[in-house]
Amino acid sequence: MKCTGPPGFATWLFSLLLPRRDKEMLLGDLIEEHALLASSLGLRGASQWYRSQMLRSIGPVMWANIRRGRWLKTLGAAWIGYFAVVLLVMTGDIVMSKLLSTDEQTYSLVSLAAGFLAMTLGGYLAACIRPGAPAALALIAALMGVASLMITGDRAPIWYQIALIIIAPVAALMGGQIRIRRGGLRRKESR
Amino acid sequence: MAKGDSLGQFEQIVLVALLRLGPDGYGMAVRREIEERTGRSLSIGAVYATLERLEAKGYVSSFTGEATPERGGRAKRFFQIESNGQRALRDSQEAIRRMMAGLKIDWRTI
Repeated sequence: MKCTGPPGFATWLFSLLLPRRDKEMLLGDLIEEHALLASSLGLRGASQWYRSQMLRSIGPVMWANIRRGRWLKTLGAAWIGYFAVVLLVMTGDIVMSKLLSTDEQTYSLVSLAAGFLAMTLGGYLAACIRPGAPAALALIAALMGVASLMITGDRAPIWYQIALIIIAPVAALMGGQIRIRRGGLRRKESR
Repeated sequence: MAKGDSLGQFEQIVLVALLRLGPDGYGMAVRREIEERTGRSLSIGAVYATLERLEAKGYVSSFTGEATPERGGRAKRFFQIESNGQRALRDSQEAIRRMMAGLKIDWRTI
């Protein structure tokens, strides 16, 4: 079946960044414009425009999130989430080094999965404190990942460090989304 | 004009776009209007961030429209300029006009 809609994965990834109140209008606008452009530019051109709009919107949207949530408290909540992740990862590392005696590649894969879980929990925790904090946590995770790659580039496999830079922010945002959805479900049940 | 009432250039452009669009002012229409008139390429995120800031200042108000199938079942959020916004826009334009008054600049040489 030929796909005629906007890029699904990019939409999902972008929607993780958006607060619930913005999701409807922003994604709706992009989908509507994509359909309009697809008739004039073709599907490929429209999808290219769509992806570039999403990429260029990340900065302003994240900044607006931070501003909306009174940024100092939001950043504070994000750092609490980050330190919780560091604590979990360090504990997990100690446990894994005692239990696992596998080769470096398997160890890195397990460590990546554990990091993903820890960051999801960190995003969840940050969202419990401030709803806008997972976006700030995602930014911190990405910046820390890049800094670590530049400073200690040769201590871990390069694929591992790049994967970490990509999946850590996604995990933080996912954790935040889980918290928001759970909060929404609880509200529905209590009605 | 109090310091907190001052408008940035992009905020002024967005307010003028809302005035031009009238009842059809929603994010993507604002982006299109600005792009067509100024030739400036914009992201939809920047437009919404500015609209939200203007709403927080009380210069614009918004309401949610109907969900439509071409938007994947998502609703539009329409924005309209309030009298505070019109006043702030008028004051900003007036400030520029006063500052420019009497200046003799040949714009063609710049």
